[in-house]
Amino acid sequence: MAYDYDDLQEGTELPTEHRTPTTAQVEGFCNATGNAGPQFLDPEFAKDKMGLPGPIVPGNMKQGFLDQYLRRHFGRNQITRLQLNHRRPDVHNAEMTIGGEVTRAYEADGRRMVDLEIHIDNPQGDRSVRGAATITFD
Amino acid sequence: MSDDESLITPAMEAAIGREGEAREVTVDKELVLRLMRALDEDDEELLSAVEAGDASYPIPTYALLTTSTSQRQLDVPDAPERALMAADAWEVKADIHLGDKLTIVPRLAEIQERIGGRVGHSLFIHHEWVYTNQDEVEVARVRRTVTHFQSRHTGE
Repeated sequence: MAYDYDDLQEGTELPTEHRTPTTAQVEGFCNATGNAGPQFLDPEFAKDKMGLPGPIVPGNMKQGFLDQYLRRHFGRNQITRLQLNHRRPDVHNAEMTIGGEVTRAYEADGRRMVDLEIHIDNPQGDRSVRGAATITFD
Repeated sequence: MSDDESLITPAMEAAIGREGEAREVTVDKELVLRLMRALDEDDEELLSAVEAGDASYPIPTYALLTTSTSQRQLDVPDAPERALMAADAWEVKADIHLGDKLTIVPRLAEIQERIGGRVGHSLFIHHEWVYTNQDEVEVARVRRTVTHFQSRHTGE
């Protein structure tokens, strides 16, 4: 169920959700977006050339997951800002935990808005993405 | 090159602020559907609207990712080859619909240097794209920071 503006205040935590992007999903994502970076699908390149633990999930795929997460909680209200810092790579087939918390609920220019801290944690509990978003309510 | 020697070359400095060639792209139903499947989209109303090709239904911002091949990063002279995306910032100003004809203008916004950190001596290169629709309305402004580094990543 989507939140109303009146349900929200500083400190309101959104429920967490889990996503485990598979190699097939990453392939589908790269195919739909034309993203051909070898670090996303080529294990040898990822390990030998980049020094990564294995092929990684594209940063903008994680952006897609966060966009979906916010729409699940805020319905058709517009996500007017989505800002992500990619702190650690996430590898395929590893569970990511997505969460968020309201940092500010306010009115500006006659519009009701909510700022949030959003994040993705890897299975070790390390934060792989730290971000911020603004939702503008109708 | 010693670690305290700047990685920012004169050619790189001269490229800051440069705008690239504008590209035009149409928000394509099939690509948006493929993307939605890859993301396991479960919003039934949205899926029905996209499957029906409803051009009046506002679609998620992530649909802009289907235009990634036209959202080219400008080449930065002398940048180290190893690179990973460090940050993304999307400012969305208007709804996006299937069939929208978007003009994308790229710009090399800024370059910062960092000595130390997870990947050693590195450059943070900030790219920016402005998306304008067929009605000349700015729909989004996207800023991406890419870290370019010389050492191998630690994987951490």
